[in-house]
Amino acid sequence: MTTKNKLEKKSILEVRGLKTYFYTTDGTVKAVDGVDLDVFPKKTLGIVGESGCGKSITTKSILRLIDYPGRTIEGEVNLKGDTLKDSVDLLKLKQNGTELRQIRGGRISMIFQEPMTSFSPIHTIGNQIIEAIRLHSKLGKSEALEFAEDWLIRVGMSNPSQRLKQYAFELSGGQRQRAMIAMALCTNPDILIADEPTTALDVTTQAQVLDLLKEMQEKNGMSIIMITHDLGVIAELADDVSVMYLGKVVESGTIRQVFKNPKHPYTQALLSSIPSLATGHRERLPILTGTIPHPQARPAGCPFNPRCKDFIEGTCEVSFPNQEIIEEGHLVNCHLYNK
Amino acid sequence: MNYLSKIKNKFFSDKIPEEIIVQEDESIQIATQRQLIWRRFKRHRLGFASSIVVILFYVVVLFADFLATSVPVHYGAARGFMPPQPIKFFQEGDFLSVCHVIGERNLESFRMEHTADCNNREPLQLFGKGYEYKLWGLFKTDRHLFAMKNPDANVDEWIHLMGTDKQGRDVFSRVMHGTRVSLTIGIIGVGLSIVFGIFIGSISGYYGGLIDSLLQRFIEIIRSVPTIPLYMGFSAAFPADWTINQVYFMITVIISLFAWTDLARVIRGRFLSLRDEDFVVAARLNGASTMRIVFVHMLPSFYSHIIAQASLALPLMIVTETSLSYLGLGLRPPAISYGVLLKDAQNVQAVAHSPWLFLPAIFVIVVILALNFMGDGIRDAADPYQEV
Amino acid sequence: MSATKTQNENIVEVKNLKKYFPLTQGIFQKVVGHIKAVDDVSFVIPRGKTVGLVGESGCGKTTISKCILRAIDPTSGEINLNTEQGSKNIADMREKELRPLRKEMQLIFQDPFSSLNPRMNLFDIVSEPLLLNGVKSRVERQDRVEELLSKVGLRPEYMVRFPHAFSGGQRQRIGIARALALNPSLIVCDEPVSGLDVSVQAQVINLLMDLQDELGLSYLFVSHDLSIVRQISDSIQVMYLGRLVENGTPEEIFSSPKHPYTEALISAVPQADPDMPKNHQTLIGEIPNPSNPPNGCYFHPRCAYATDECKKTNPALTVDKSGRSFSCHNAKDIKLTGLI
Repeated sequence: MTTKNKLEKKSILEVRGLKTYFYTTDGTVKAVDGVDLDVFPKKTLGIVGESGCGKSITTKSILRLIDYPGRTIEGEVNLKGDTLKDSVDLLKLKQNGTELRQIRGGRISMIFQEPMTSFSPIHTIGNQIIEAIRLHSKLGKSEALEFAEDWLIRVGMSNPSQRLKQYAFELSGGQRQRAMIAMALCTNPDILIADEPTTALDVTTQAQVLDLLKEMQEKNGMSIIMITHDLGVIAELADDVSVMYLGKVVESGTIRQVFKNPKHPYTQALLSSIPSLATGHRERLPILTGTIPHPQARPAGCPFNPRCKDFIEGTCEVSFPNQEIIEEGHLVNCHLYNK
Repeated sequence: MNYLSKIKNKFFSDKIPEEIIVQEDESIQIATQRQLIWRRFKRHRLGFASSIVVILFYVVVLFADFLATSVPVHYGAARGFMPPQPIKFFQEGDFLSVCHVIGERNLESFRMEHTADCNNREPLQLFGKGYEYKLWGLFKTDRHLFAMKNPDANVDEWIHLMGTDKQGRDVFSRVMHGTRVSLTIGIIGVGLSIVFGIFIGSISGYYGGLIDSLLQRFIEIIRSVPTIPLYMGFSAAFPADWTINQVYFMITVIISLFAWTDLARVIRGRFLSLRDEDFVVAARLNGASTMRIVFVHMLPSFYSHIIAQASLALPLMIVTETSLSYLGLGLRPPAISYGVLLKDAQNVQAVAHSPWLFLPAIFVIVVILALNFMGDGIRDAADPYQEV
Repeated sequence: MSATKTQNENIVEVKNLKKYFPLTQGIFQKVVGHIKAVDDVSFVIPRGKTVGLVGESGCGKTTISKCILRAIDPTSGEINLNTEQGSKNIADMREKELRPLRKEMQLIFQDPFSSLNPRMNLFDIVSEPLLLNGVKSRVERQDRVEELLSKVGLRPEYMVRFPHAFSGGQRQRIGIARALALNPSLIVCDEPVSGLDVSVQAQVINLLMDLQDELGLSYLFVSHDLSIVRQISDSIQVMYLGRLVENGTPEEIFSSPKHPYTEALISAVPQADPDMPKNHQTLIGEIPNPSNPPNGCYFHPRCAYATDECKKTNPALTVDKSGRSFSCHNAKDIKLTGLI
């Protein structure tokens, strides 16, 4: 990767040229096809995109959680430490080796859309949090219990000692998500990956969880990778944003650069197709024509070209555009800006 | 939000856009669910190969007499425990011939010892004449796949492709007939349990509530009855003067009386989940009758599941029949089934000295595995929301 | 109102609608309590207009729409459906009498995948309502299906295809075509876009608005997405735990909410604008279990403005001078903020 215009800001996680393909009997699905990401310390990176854009597969690839028939075939995932020696390329680590397992849940934690399925139904919340704590520290059982209780208080759970003895199905959606966050943060990770953490929740509960994440970031200073299709959630939480479409990052930059001055026709269309405060009553919103292509029938060239309003014949369907720098930190992959 | 107003004109169109269909393969788009299932099933290699094996077995069921060389109950003490004959191809102008097997009593052990003498061969003819039988009880014929070229020779004496048993009966012919009996018991039993299962399962699932609770408790009671003692009781209750056919029919009914509960549960579950499915609600709100909802919308949505479940229930039926007959509780000689055949291989001596008596077991294992793999394949292929 | 004068200007009038679900126990389904999913709700849907119904999950908004469609039987109350044949209370009508009225009301489902029978092709799906309502001629049905498909932006050639060939947005169009088949007056849209991709949502919303203009349809638009409800509705009903707590035009609701719950809902919606202030009026806790609602005002345990009176008595829905109704004891004393 040639563009290194972010040298001033030192990233904590650097993803370069990540490719994860799924080899199914019907052909190869290029779920993630050359993705670059930078996560900065104590900042939130939002990855936004619609279904099939590969946003979840990207984070799963970072944590090496891709199962057969998928395979990460190329790229680098550099997790930076304090010194150069502490830095590791996660893709070079042994699958399921000790080093990788120490990083998973240790330096990088993850929370999911439906915490019901990420908690085991046969163990209490408390036991699972304690297990997570003891896997990544040398605390004894009673210390870990105290620590777990402390964390439940920090994520705003009422009656924590009671909650520790309960099972996941006994909690409401919002409480489960809080418990999930407690479990993810109790190992004091550098990076928290949140995969659509509020999609299954009501707006009021969503607001609570988003506030909690912000508060936790302020107190603990971790970075967050936030995956969502909800542009509002991104605008609320993220400092930087990467817009993905069909396995590629098409635009990235700070939240203000991307949301206030979108350059890629897809980003523009996405932002203008959701109702906002400026939308009048019964006003027709500009719409993005067509639908997201079938994963096995990705268009050649720029994947967005069949739906693009600025389609340039002879160019867009031929090659994927190079990365262009709009201004410092604001990158876009579009032939329109090809100098 | 000035960028919005800027780009709005570019996007805005009063016309509803023509949708782009990206999936180009027309044949997939107009394919019915049945065709899609078939497409997926063909891709399930193990399941597809197993279904060919299963079809072969049912060809045996249909043409057991045609495939058998001799009447399966013809015995002759003189030719007991003959080993399988060597088969020769293209010898002295005969396409197919079998070697003579000569028995001689070892005067020290008093046991018959058989040696194959391939200098003396008996030529065979494909589609030749053998014993007379009625194909499917309708057409009288005497054609067989293998028959003696020499029209005067006694088949019982000469052709033993898989050897003979203690009484000198031809094992190959017996296996062919045993296959017919065991596999038809399976399929009729499954047929009966499908009828019971769909009936009880749909009532339970469609109406729910108290009826459902009562039927479920009833099913639980049936399932909690220990089967072997019960089969023993039934078996003892069969009048001694019943013909083979009557016993055969009753065994089928008894087996299916206990096997339908699984199917009923599966169908009830599908009904319960489909009852609240949106397309069923849509039909109901448009005034569709209960009959239409059940037969047009609900049952077709899971007939593939029923087929899968049935093909998984089949091997269980066959094993049950085999075990019952083996224990002497099911079919009894002179009837022939896998269980009856394996009964002959019961003692260690028989297996040690004449291992070919154990050949029916291989048939049982192959057909059971093939049915299971086929059922798995159908089940995997039948998931309606899987990717094409 | 372009409708004839003999017709009532409201397509549906709901009066004191109640739906209690019994809580049962044991084999013999003994009733041990009730969930008051809908508790004494009254509102009207004006002809040719859109009424938005918002609230959190479990507040009873889907139950209301099911009662109006008579997919479930209401416990008590009136649902007056005004058709050309006059006004009829369908709340306790028997299925037989109801059948001819069913074609007046149709439903658009949330999940575009389960709403279409995977074993039927588009023709069978869209023409089923016609078939069930006595259109026996295949040619006639075919013409109508072609017309409907082009109306929702699908090519008539697609008639022979099966649902699996279509994406979520396209399936939702198919569902809309089916709902339109019998020329209904009222369409209940139950979260019609929440299962769709962001870029496709606007397509479907625009289509719904176009169809309303063209065919004079009335919509009951049930959704948890306040931005979309605000865009499409002529009036909004806010619901909390089985009761309506406030109604008004989108303008009124969003600029000057009168109920603290409405205020909290509005402030919780994340806006896709990084410059927007991000201070939520965060609600405490979550929606209570409807089988065991709190005493007094159902909202008081989560309300930042609750007084002693709120814990004791449940406020009635009162109408103020401007014609807006809301149920809050302290409406006069508190100053609530909506969107700027």
